[in-house]
Amino acid sequence: MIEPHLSDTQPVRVSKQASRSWLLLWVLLAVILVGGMTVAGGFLGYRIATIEGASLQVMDNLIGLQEQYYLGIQDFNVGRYDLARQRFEYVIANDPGYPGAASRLDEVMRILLVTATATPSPIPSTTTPTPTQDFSTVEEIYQRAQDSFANGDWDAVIDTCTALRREDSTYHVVDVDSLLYRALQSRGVDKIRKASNLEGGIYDLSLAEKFGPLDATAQGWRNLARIYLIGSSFWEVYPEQAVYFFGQVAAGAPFLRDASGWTALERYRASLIQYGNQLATQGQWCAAQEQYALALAIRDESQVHAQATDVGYQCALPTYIAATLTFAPSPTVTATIAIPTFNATWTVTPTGVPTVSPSQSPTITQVGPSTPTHTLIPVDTITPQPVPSETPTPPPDQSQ
Amino acid sequence: MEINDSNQAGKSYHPRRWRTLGFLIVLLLTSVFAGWLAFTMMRNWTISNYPETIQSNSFIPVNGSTPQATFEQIQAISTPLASLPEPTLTPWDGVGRVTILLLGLDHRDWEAGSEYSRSDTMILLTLDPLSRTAGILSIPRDMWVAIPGFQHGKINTAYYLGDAYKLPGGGPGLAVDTVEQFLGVPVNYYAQIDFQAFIHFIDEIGGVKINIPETITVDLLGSGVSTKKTLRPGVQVLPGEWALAYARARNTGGGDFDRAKRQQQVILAIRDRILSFDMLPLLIMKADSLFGQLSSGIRTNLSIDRAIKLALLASQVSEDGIHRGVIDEKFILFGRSPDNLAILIPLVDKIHVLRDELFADTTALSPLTPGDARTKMSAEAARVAIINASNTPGLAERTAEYLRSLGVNVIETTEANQNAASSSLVDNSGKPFTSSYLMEIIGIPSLKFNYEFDPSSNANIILTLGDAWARDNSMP
Repeated sequence: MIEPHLSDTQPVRVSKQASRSWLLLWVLLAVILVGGMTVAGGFLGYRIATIEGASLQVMDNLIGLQEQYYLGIQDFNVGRYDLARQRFEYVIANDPGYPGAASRLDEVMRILLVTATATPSPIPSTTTPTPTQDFSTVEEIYQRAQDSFANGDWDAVIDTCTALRREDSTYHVVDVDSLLYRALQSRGVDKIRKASNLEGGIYDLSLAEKFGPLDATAQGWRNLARIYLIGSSFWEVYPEQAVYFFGQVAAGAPFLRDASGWTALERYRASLIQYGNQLATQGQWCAAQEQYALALAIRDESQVHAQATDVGYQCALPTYIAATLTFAPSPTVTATIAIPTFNATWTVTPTGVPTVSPSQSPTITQVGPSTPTHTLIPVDTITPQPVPSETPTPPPDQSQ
Repeated sequence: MEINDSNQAGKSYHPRRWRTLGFLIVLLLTSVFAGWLAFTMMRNWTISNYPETIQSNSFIPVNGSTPQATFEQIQAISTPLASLPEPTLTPWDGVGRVTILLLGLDHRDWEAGSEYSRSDTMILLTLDPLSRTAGILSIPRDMWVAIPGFQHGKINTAYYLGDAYKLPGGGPGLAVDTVEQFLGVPVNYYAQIDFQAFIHFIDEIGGVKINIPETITVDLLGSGVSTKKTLRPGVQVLPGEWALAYARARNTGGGDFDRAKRQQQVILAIRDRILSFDMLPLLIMKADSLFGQLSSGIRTNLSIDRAIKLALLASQVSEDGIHRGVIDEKFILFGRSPDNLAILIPLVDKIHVLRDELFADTTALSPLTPGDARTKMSAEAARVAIINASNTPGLAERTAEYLRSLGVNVIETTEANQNAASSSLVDNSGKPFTSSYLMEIIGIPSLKFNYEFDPSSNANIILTLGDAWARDNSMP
């Protein structure tokens, strides 16, 4: 029998080094397992949330579009065509294939008598570009800016030049300044002329002016936009001022319009009616009649016609003639009232159209030397933009 | 001696195995828990970056090709949805000027239980990242403006109308549109903060230090005489409730205009407080939880990330770089609306000047060519052709020599067939610095300058000399 060696019979003692290695192995395993699961969990969470978020957004968008579509129909039914237009345009901007939206918009546009192009919506499209870091080289960005300029895409020129400056503000600095100068000037004019964004256009032109002079055309458009805005500031408050300013714009650019869709000519016409109403309230019948006559020369409308005839009747009354002759004798008034056929036998019909017996019915063109010289503009070239007829009234302002 | 190996082995190795097994199980459980935790946190964090969504129970499915609106559907849709529509504005490109419309709502509408509210405060905050300058512009609530799609009205009703009519952008959308149409500047973000959120935030930063110039009576939230408090002149640290009352107070001589200045004072005091106590890192660290607490009182299209980025950017703007503007009595006429409300009629030209002071100095959209006017002109190296349309023979040659001596690159001179009284300039390729320089030297009226893009033209600029230059010039 072989005696076992003492060392062989003793329990094997794991050395400290081996034990430490095991421990290290366990720790490593723990780190790998926990870390791996954390990373995997995080990644999975991110992926799932991305999918969920995207589907929620789609759902959200769909609900929003549906609501806007139905509200558009509601606005349409009650005659709030401008709001209806905004809503249908919004729906189409988000989903061009949304069932029924295009035909509804078409219907609204027909009513609004806009046949050329859809009026720009003040509501921004949801397909706005998300700013992303441009990883192209500066040369590529610069080339893209030039291409955009050649295509007349001013927004793209400005965005691309801005991106270029983020990468290297000194790259082709003179040429980039030139591109920005031209793009800002062109965009400014386009905003005023085409996009009905008068203030936005003026602001772009102010930016362009920091580079160099504005050309005569740009200055002209800026001035028209400026006068329009001044007129607009007096809207419904000081009609005589509105008449003055809109009259100037209407003479130069009758179809210049602001974001509400009102053309300068329509604003001018409406201001004339407002001013006429104001004068009529003050008992200045003949002056009121002049304003109505100018408005009717732009576009005939039965209601204004009736008002004009009413004030014409008042203007021609002997008492008014006497009063004006007594208290305010002026050659203009005398000339205006020098219509011998008017007498006290006027009768006013229920429709408000005066008839004269036995002589002929007067028309507003019989006013005399102050007859307006406006050319009658065909109705189909005017774009009336009715404002909401049922504007909800905010609670009374207690600060007043 | 019989050795029971198995028994021995069992005694000495089983506990270790169990320990190993137990450790493995704990490890696995910990890993699973860590994975689940990471999954939940990441999922919640990612989903929180998406805008609020409308509850799915308000969804009406589209059936068939063309949905027809029934009366019931319209009625149903007229009732307020769980969340109001939000506007989609032009996102900030990260380089150019960024502008935020800060909105405060009218507390009286809320007190009166009105479903929709008017805006009581409108402040435009603007920041130019490249020049590290900022601007604050307060727009008075009674400003008489065109509200897109509606009649003219006070600017504070835009928010109300947008919500009441459920326009695609809701109240904030119409408010932003109205401000954009009024001032012409693009607005990238809006933030509407309610009173409680404002108070909470101010308390979170430990109040704001305000230098009160004169004794003022403020009205703390609530009703009754006990809420009326008097603030004495001097520097004081106001807690949230008091800071809000101070910003809302309008019972001083300047009324709303004074109030706008106080609101700007509070905004700057918030900035000072955060910067002076170096609170920004702390606020950024707890941005998620803070936003969670405040979110019910904030309506904004700013994501937390974007808000943090802007806060960091704003912290780099020195106090001297912050320009302040209030559309006050210098920029308006007082008037009455058709329904006899007090309104402010904007003086358009004066407001343009103020607007340009605050917004038009945008570095990314400003000329960056260095140097004075002559250096810039030389840098353009524009080819200039001169036409003599005056009655003075040889004027073009003389002028060419003179301009060459100033560094202008004159390439040709010709005589015109027709006479012109005044000089004019045509830019064929967009050389603003040369055009500007020549107009200044020759004295060309601005209306005699035309830009006619013609890349095929040999000359970049065509200068036509008239009798005015022949008569009166600065040539040696």
